[in-house]
Amino acid sequence: MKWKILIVDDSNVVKAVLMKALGESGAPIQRVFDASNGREALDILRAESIDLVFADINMPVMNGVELVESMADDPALKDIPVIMISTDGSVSRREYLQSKGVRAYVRKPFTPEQIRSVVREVMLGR
Amino acid sequence: MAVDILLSSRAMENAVVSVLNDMAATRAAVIKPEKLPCFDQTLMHAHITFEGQSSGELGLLMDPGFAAELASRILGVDKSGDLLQEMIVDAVKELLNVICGQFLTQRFGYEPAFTLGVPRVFPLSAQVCNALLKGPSILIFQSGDFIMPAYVRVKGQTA
Repeated sequence: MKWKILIVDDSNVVKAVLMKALGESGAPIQRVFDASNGREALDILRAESIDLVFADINMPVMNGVELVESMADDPALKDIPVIMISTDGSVSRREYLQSKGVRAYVRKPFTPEQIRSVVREVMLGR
Repeated sequence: MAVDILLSSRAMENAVVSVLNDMAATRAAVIKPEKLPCFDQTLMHAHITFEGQSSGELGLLMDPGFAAELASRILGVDKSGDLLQEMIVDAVKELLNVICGQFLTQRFGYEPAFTLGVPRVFPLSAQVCNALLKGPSILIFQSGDFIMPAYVRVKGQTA
């Protein structure tokens, strides 16, 4: 089975770097979708069967925390694995996001190795 | 108060040097303010605010050629001339966003949560740059031939 992945970040540079890292990760990818904020992401999540979400926290319109809260409240979306990618180093915010179902947290700047490792951990449990 | 300013300056120095290295594979070092040249061309001014336990702002003043070089390194593109201006600006915004996150952790630790503003990048004339750089809390970085002034201001701290 190949995965559909959604990247949610308002930076086109982060999207490009993350797409490159995912492409080099060896992960079985069917298609990568992208959104620039939480609201756009929810539209895609409700229209497509997404297997994995990468989301930033600091975004305009609807931020990453609000996106995770909306997903947690929606029975159709609450089980989709979410990996947060953010500059935010706050332990309390990380714990809150984990309580809302976030599976992993990667701090920017990230390396391609970190992306490969976190995808393997979240999607394959190793 | 002077100790607070010194701690903020140190945190900013460490954040800039480590993020340039980790994100753009670019080495930079802090140089003495006396070595700051008088700029004769428009620079790119990147600016971001933060709010939380403390609030304040960070900024970078960057030669457009240096911004293009950093963007090409971040994106893994061989020639910076191939990049659209929009991608260069986006890369500078992201760089400042990450520097701000690293600064806050180094300055205030991992416990407090901060909200970052949306980074903005806009041109600043040489005249305005030179006037701005005469103010307090200016740090000067050098990377190769490029000089990059930066500043951090935390509310309640005055020089």
